[in-house]
Amino acid sequence: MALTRYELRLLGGLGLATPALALLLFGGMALLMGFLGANGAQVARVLVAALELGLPLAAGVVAATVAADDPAVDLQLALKTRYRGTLARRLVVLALWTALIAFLWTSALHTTGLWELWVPEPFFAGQLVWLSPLLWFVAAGALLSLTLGRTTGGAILGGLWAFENLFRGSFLTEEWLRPEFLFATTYAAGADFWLTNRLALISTALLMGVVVWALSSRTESFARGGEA
Amino acid sequence: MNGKTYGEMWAAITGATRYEFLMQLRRRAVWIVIGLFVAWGFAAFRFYVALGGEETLPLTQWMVAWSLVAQYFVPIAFGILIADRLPRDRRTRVGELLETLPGSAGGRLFGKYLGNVAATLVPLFVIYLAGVAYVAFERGDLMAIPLGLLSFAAINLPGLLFVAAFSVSVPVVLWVPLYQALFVGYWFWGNLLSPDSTIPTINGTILTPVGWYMANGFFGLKGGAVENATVWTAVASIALLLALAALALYGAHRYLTWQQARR
Repeated sequence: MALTRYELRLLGGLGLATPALALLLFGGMALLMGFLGANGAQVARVLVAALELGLPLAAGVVAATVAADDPAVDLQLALKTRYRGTLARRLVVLALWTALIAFLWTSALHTTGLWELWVPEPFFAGQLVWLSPLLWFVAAGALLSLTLGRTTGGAILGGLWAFENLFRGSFLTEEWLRPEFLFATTYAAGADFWLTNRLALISTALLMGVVVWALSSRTESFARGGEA
Repeated sequence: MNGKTYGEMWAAITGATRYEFLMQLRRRAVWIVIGLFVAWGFAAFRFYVALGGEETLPLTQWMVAWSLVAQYFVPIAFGILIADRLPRDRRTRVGELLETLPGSAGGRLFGKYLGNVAATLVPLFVIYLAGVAYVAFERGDLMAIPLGLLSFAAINLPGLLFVAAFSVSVPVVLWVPLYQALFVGYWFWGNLLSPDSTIPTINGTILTPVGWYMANGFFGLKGGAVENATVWTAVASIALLLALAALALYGAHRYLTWQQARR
């Protein structure tokens, strides 16, 4: 528990606020659309998109930063606790914190009746709206950061995000691309492949997690002090 | 001038430009990321403009299409690769050391901007020129070279200067990962989201660094987010982008000076 508190402090106010801020920006946009006369479903779509587009990207970029940005990583070479454990705890704390915010947001939408306007799945199964892309982005952020450096990792994550958003048409029509489409709720709510897509994303995230676990034993390579 | 002479300011600008250029050019990330992003842009554009397959397209349209290919996703990489440069001075503790030097802080900030823009442009320009050479060879028309250079100067450069100015300036007050996430969201919302979308967007206004106004106003490109641009609205778009870039840099300079005076 003490370590969890320490990790939360290490993430800092900004690290903790980044995913929440992403939600608030989408919330502001939805409010503006409401004022401009958009209908309930359109507003609900943006509020749900906050969970699928905004939150996971923010958490992924933070994951890319914390995975390879520990100024005291050299110390870990001299300790019994290995960096592998520290990194896993760090990513789990980040994911849990983001999940808490997501659940609160989802509950607020459910209470106001907006959730049902866009998400056809039952409330609890509907949590996969954010859980799948969140795990995917956190795992990808850590993996890219450990292999290519945190700047490259953040940039590639951002590029992938924009690419899938722009080419949603291809990701939805090409069957081989569908399982890895990160934004299936925003662009294809109620599609018959939705659940398969969500589970495929979680599987990919777990696979990336295993690679991160394997790579993070090479503490020496993070302690090199250089920058990519 | 805060007691600094023009000579000292000039020395700070040229010195910072030179070192920032060399530091950024030697980063592996710059080459990997820019290459990957141009490839993404290329894949993206194949859906909209039949680049390479459409023989009947006039040469000008080919070159403008190639400019837009390079401008679709690359600015995301451009911004992120430049955003961590100023905070790096704090992290490596050279910022305080540099403050003791006679050169002006504003000069160093501007030099940082120029050096990083120039270095990050190198891989992009190399790939861009390879595309121009390919079109010149494929079409057997050497006019591709001046046209390609012209469209790069009109479409890509103003947008990249705009993006780079904000990426140097905003991290002065904002945590870099937060800036990265916000910037990616902004780029999609303000440049790639269709103006017909139910979500209000600034795409299609003259404040669009992806370059729709320049592509349509100067070169008559059809099928983009802007269809009725004139030469003058294209000029206004460039002027607005450059003015806002200058404003962002000036704002960062004022903030840094204020922060330094408070210590």
